[in-house]
Amino acid sequence: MITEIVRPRTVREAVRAKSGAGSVWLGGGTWLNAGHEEVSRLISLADLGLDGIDVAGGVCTIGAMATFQQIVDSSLVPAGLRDAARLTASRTLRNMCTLGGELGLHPNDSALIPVLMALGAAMHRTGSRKPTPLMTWLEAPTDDLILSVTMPVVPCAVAALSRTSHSFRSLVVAIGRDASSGKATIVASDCRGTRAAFSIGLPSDPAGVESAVNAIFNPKPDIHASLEYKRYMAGVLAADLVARP
Amino acid sequence: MSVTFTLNHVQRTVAAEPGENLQELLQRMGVPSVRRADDGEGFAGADTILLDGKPVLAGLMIAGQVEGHSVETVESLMENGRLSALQGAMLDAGVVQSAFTSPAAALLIEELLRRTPEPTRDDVRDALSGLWSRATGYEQFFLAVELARQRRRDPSFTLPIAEEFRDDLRVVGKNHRKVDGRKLVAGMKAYVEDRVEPGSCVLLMLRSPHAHARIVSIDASKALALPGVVAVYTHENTPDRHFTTAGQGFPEPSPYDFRMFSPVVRHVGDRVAAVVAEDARIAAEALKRIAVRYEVLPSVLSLDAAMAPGATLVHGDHLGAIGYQFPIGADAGRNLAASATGSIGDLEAGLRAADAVVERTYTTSKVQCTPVETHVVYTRMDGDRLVIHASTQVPWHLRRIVAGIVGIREHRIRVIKERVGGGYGSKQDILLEDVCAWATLQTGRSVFYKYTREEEFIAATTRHPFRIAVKMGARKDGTITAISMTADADTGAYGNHALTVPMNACSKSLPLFRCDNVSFQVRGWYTNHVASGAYQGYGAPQGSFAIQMAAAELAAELGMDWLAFIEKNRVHEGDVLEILKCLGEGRPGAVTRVRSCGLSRALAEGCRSIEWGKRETPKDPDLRIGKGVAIIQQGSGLPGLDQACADVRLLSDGTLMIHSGGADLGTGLDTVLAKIAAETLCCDMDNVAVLTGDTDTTPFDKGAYASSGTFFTGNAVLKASQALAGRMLDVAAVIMKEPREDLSLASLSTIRGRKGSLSFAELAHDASGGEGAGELVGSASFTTDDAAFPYAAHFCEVGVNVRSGAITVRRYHAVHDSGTPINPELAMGQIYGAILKSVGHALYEEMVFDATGRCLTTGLADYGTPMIQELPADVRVRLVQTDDPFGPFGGKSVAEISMNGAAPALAIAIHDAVGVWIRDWPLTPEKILKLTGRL
Repeated sequence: MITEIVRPRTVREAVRAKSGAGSVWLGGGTWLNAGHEEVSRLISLADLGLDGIDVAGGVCTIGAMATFQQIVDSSLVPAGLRDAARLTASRTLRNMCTLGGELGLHPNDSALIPVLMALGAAMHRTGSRKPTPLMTWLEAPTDDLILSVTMPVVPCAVAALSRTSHSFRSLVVAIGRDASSGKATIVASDCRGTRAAFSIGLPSDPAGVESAVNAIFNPKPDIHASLEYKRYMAGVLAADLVARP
Repeated sequence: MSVTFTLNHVQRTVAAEPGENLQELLQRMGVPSVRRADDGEGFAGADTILLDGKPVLAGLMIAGQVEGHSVETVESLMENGRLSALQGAMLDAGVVQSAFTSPAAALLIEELLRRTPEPTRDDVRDALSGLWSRATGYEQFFLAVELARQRRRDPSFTLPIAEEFRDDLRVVGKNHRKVDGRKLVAGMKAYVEDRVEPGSCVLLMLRSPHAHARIVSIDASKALALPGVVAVYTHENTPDRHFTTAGQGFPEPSPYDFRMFSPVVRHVGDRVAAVVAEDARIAAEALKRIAVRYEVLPSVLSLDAAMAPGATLVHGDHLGAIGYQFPIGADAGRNLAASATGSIGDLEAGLRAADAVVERTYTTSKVQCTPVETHVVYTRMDGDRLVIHASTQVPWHLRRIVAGIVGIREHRIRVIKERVGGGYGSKQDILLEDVCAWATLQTGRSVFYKYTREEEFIAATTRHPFRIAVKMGARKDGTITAISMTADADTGAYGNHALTVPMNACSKSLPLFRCDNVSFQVRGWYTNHVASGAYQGYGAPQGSFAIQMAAAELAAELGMDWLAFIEKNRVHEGDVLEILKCLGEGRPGAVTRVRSCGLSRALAEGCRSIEWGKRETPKDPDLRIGKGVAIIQQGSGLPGLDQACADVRLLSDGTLMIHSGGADLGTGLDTVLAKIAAETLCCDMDNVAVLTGDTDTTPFDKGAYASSGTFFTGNAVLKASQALAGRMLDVAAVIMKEPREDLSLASLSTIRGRKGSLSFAELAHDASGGEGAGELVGSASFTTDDAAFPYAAHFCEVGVNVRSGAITVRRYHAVHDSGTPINPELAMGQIYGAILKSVGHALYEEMVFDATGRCLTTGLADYGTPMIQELPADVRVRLVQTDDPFGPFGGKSVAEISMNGAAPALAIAIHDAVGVWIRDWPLTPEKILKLTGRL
């Protein structure tokens, strides 16, 4: 039961306030409605100024409190990430969901995380002086305060599979292209906990990518999509993303 | 703690718990318009507010988050108690139906127009992307936004809202704002939850985790010991009376197989115990403290398992106690809840005469009505009388059924039907009123119970899943020679509507084609799934899917164009429907002549509109385009079975008051009644008030089901209005000193004679004076043996990607014959709404169960409810007028028929695109890939 809300003015105050079991960060707050009885103390991040979006030196930095709608609306954000944010179909929800909340909760059917992985995004958080690669962090998530996420401004794209615009997703496939290295990273998520990354050279033959993804990706089925369907569609979506100009 | 924020431009400081839900806080602060409809899933948007000008969901926020911020609710849009231009635009466009999310829609449009003064269609879709409007189908929102946008500059701006009809009539056939629309779009108190008084108890239900189990023991002592728990009810302390939850005319053609609580639970979600407590938090805690020991029994989770010889019996524990009001072909000892057969002609001879025969099986899935306002009831005592505030389609059946269950006479019960935030058939059943009534009678306390969204999926009635085998033969020229139809329905754990839904699958599909040799068999089978029941269309969508698909497959076998095949065989005005003599509602039916049928025009206009026969070659090499059409029908109430009553009274200033038992569940029935009275009595619509659905103050009506509102309730008001007109002329003749035959009603509100005239106000004043004739009232009841069938043709165009199987509905054009459309824009709104619902059933929606019978789709997103993003790019509704001799002013029904077309039309279009027949709902990309050999 929530008994206290703390409104720190600085990151340092926020970190100090986060002590003991039952303390959680309060970003957009959409998660709180689920009745988490273990939550007793909320540390509001509203006044920390963490909602900025900037680009400098070819690197895009998005504050943890930036909402999905801010990401959709910002021309500074790589287009594929904006598309991923738009896959949360409700604009009303997009006004509430924050990037930090998405990363902190890292839901299996996140559309943003595969794109960020494909971009090689890094997290800036209070528990580490150095940026942490998102892929590394996802292997052992921590509960410290996420401040921002950085990513190179390179072409990226995303495609997803779901029964309806608002249904849970069955599959997310993302691609990030790094022209300087002549490589691209494809990330396929079965939205049930399996995320697989593939590195391909550029340019690549879409049909070859489709076959490769089809052969390697081993998704879990869900109530709307069988394993075979997901595997097949992962190849199709990956090939389509590779074929995009 | 206290929270200070600006609410609708006024700074407010309010005491609140730190974690108090913001939606609940706003309600507590007297803001009724911010509602909940989705257990905090963030799907429905009924809890939308503007926070610092941006739409967010109050139900997902806590009070502390608004400290120092600005909150706007729909109440802020009102201007000195008057609707804003935006709200007026919504009413004019017809988007205010059941209206549970109408206040949210108004806020979203307001925010859109502030942000984007010249919005595109995509902008509108984006703005409304978080709004669930199950009833409207969204299309008319584009018109509403355009009206609102223009009226910001020019308050008098208007557009053609919808085509109008009947130049010979003044009110009927013309567009008019819904008479109850003002309070709904303004977010005023209107629903059951708005009637709950402080100090009322809350009821929560403990539900079975097992599909089939015997309750070995149940111990509620720890729950009862919890401070604040008022009572706990189980099968051990509640009436052991069998009844049916089906709100049908008595005697019902449904088995009495349900009890308030049973020692055997028959589906996951079945009732186990009810807790009545001082508040929801205590009740929830008490539920956890009820100790139940179950003996898990084998369960029946498919039609095959139900039919199998020696199958586990769903009702094996009380076979002898199940009651039947008359024979309905039931044998609970074989899991058969109801059955019927019938035939005309000689099926075998017809099949022998055929040059081609198809024999196919079609299946449909279990889908949920998903009313935006979940099932809800509030019961309280008024002296020694029980008052039930209900969100129901059947106030009178509710009173009768509850009286029988709780053991009191009907005169001690008052049912007040509040505004219904969506019903679609599911509120034709008595699913929670009985237990709340019992609790109030036992404790004397007021009791409130509102289903969670999860309960809607595990404890509310659904559409029946069907397996329908069709055998159909035709000659080379396309003439159908024989049809047989065997429809097996999964009625779930209880047999409410187990006979009539399957029969309706036949009676609303077979008569669409002329055929002399027809036979059918229908069976409703018990399983351990949540009970099926009534859902808009009532079996007709499933029957239409099977019969239209089989006919289309037969046409393909013969090499005939599908539309040409339809024209060769379809029903025409004047046809005699002999098959209907076998298809009564559990009783003998009647051979019926089709007295009006607009299919000729509907098909011609749809064909032209969709460009039937024109092939498009898309640029995308993976895309295939296909077109489909289905012809559909419904009824208009149940002739020979049902009744509606009404009275219309002249008030002392010459205005009119209608009392009708009709149950407007958002469809606009009250508006239809006002129009019929205004037309008949030559007065202005604004001078007519309507009171409906209160068992104390309005006369009996069968309720809102079977598409009966306009036809039955409308005809009752027509007759009552005519009776009042006659009485008014009688009295006026005396006052005016003119022969009665020289007098007539004239617009507006005048009685005209050869020598003079008398206003309604003068007449009423005289009649109600000390020497007057008494209050002038016209009363009537309406029964009939005459039928009025609405017809329609639904055309569609789909794009199918052969690599991904993805289906895009590019165009959906529906052309309807609803007789005289009494209120065109509301009629169209219902059709738009039903189209999207039925597209949802055909393509997306699906209740999925695990191997133990547990429903896995208990949220709206998981279940696949379509939103505005799923609205096809080009949806058109066209009304073609016919003049039915039996409908009021020629009107026929419109509500249900629109559900029947999407599944067959889309499946036929998919076949046209990629050459495969998908014979089971939902029609998914994965099925296409499998059928085309890609998977």
